[in-house]
Amino acid sequence: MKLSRRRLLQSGIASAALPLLESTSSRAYGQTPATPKRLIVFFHPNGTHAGAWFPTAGSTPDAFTLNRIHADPLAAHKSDLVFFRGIDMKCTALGPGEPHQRGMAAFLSGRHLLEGGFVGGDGSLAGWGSGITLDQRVAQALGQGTKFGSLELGIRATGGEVRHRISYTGANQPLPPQNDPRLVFNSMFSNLGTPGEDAARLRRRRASVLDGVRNQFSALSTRLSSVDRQKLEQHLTLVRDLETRIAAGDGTASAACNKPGTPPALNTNSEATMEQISRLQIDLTVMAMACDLTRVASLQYSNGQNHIVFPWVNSPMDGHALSHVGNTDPAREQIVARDRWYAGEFAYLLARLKSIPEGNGTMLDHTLVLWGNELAEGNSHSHANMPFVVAGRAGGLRTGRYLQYNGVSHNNLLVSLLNLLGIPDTRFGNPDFCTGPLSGFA
Amino acid sequence: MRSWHRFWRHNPAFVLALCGCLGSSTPSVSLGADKDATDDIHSETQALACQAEPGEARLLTREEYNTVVAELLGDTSAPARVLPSENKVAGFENNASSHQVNPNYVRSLMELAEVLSTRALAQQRSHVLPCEPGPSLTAEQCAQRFIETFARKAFRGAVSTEASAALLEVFRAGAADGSFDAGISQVIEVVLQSPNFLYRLEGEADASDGAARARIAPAEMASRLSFLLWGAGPDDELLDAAANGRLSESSDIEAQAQRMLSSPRTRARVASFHRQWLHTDLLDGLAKDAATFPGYIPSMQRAWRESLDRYVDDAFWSGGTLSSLLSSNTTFVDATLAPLYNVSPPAAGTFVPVSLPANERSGLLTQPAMLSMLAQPDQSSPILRGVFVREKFLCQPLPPPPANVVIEAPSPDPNATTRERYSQHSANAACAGCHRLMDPVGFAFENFDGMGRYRTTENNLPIDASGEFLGVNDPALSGAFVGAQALSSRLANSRTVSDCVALQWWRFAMGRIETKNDTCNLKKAQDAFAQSGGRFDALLLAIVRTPAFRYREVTP
Repeated sequence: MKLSRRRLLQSGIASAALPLLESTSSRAYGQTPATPKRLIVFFHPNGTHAGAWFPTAGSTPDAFTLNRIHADPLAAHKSDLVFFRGIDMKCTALGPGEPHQRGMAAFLSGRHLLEGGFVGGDGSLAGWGSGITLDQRVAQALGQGTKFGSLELGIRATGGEVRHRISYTGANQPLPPQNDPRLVFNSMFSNLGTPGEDAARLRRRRASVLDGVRNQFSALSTRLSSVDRQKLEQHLTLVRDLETRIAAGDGTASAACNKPGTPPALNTNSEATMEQISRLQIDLTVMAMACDLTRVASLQYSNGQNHIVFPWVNSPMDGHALSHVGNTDPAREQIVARDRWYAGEFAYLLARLKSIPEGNGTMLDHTLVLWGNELAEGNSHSHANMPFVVAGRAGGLRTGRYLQYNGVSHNNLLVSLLNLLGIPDTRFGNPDFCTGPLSGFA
Repeated sequence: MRSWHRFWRHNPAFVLALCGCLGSSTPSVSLGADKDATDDIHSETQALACQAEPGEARLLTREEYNTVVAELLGDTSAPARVLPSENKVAGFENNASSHQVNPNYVRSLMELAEVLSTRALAQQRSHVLPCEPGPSLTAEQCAQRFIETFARKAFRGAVSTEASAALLEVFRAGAADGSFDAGISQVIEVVLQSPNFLYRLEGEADASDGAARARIAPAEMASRLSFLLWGAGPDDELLDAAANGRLSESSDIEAQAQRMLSSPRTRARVASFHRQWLHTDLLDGLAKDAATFPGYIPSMQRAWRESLDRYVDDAFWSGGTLSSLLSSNTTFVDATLAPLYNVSPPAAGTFVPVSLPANERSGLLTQPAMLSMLAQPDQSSPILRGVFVREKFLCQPLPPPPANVVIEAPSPDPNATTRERYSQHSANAACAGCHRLMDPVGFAFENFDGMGRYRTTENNLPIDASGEFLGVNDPALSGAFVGAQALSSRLANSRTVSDCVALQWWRFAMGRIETKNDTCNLKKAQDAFAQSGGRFDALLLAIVRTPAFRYREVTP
């Protein structure tokens, strides 16, 4: 079922070109004068087809040629991208679990899994990830004053176990993605543009209710175990945090910040709606950031199990089964076709960010986008030579390069991304697999 | 966090270990009919050979939240679908440590509470309010009465003076904005976000004399029972029994459990358990290839789910045993499914029971919905079916695949059967070690295609549905068999399987993966289940009787 442009426009999300009212618009946001930096994570599962992914290198890092997966969809954005070869998820060498489980947690945490009772795709046992993920570390640093500390969005990112989660606030604390754009919209935008007096009244009312909630925590007479005290203390902290964010408000409409149309009610777990939902989720992410309602987001496509089909690119195989075809099997062209579609969505995201003027450039100049996967290669489950791509120029990153390494740990890339976003951490994830920032990158 | 038992990680023969049977040298002591007439915790402690675990606060799942607000506010719209999805362990949503709030969750709880309170006062006023302000009752007096009844129900037991007073303050602050309704709606919102509502808390101050173990207090026991069997808060009878000292003795607890088991409210909870255990959510978004299966239409996903729910309900409540679950050849079809399975379609929009040929089908694992779920879009799947049986019915996790080796699934071949295509697994030494555990189990289902339809040939070649359970030490499972009925019959007679099913219920009941301290308790439940002939009611009552259900360890 091909998705026509008309249907996309009718889906209700406004994506008009915007006038160049740079200096006035940044004040209309109600932002501090310095433009905020942002992180967006983009994930798709089960590896790729290396022969169609990695660029052809030239004599210098900036003289590379895009390969078949990226050449068409990302041609217009080549100068905004950084490709890598030779980065490995080395931290997956430790801990329990099968490779999908390990990779899902390792991608953004740079750490292995805890022991636990999950059964993996092949039946092996593991627990949750053992540390905070990049996006949440960034949310800690950059997201304290926004309505949402971070946004975890999904596109058919179903399931609830370790193969289905990429984001963690800490060890044993996975964050679920939200697959329904309508629910994202309701929470993010329903109060955008509410007249000042009504907005203030709602804020006061909410502050009063949350105050009452906090008093119920204090009134607990139950003598709890220390585990439970800690659990409720953590919940209470989230309530206090929510109170602070309520005070930050629901955003103000401006040149760049418009309340999107209400997304339609859609089946959120079907190949028939996947294209439409992808665009809706991307639009909601970009608009949420344009309104400074959040500065951190992740877009998770599918999950480590990946039991989805792609009829619109003529790929009817189960995604996981597809990832296990042999190296010379013609069915690998289906992997290429799917990844090309993902590249097209990545391109759409970049185009939307570039369409919004900001400071001396566009939103993309103050954002970093990290595209990753839980595997490098589906049929061997390899975590070596991972298909990472970075886009955007937050922190002054030089883009339009293809960087080649010789088996460096991806933790270093995560450190570099933090540093570019103004977070001075010198290590991230398991320090045994991290020597500092990625050399030659930032 | 609980430490995970590492027996299987470091034991080279761990594939032979049975998750649910970790071995215990603790002699079991029958609690049986020796009820202690006194509340002497010490003597009871000495009589107990099994240890308990500390109680752990358990956040309401979305399903539980829905059931609870349906009773509390008369809201049957299943509103908790707006909340984030649960983190699950071994398929279960109600894992105490993994199902937890997060920043966006807490915001969603706030927004949901606002919607529910507004809707309740607009549409369910008489259900929610015990009174209205009027000539004989001031707004505050009525609010006070509302708080007393509402909070007691919402907090599932006695409400402390402090909590009550704090709620009255909420009413006053809200009503100051002008109206009785504004005050009440804020009280409702606070209650719906309070820890006593959202969490099942255990630990009323009662652990005295430095005792290491405390009996679960009556009000907490009421919740343990109601959430196990109904997925909801205690009803008035349970709350009254708890408040009046009639939920402490084993006999009282058991009598309540019996009453609740006979209630129709248990049906939904049993259905929920099976949905989670058998991960039937995979039927949503299931893809079938139009070229291979031209008869497929997407609405069959929902039809299969309904069919399976009805099958489980029928087998569980009419048959009541593990054997009936694994042997019935009834299935439930609607007008879309009937043609697939060669039965007459019923009227549109209805489901009817039909008998499928007894020489073809036998039990849950031959239900069309299960076979369709455990399949590829364009073929069957011995791997998915074999792993499923191993994991869900034998409780045997399998080791991870060898690292950095290309693992290639055989492609469809018009000149071979699925079994023949997968023969590479047994030929290749690197694959055979694990695949000998999965493939011979999955091959027994090869008489069923990817839509659960019976077949005797594939690509015009005869189907060989012989199978075998390797790597398991159970006489009922040893030796080759042919076909899914024979496989189901083996499972129904297997102590390994019976113990595994009991373990699944244990995990669901206790909200945790079994710990070392659980072993002794679990064995009691497994023994009772087996000795009863696989009766589910006996299993559930046995779980309720275990020390782990009746007591909690007191941590300093």
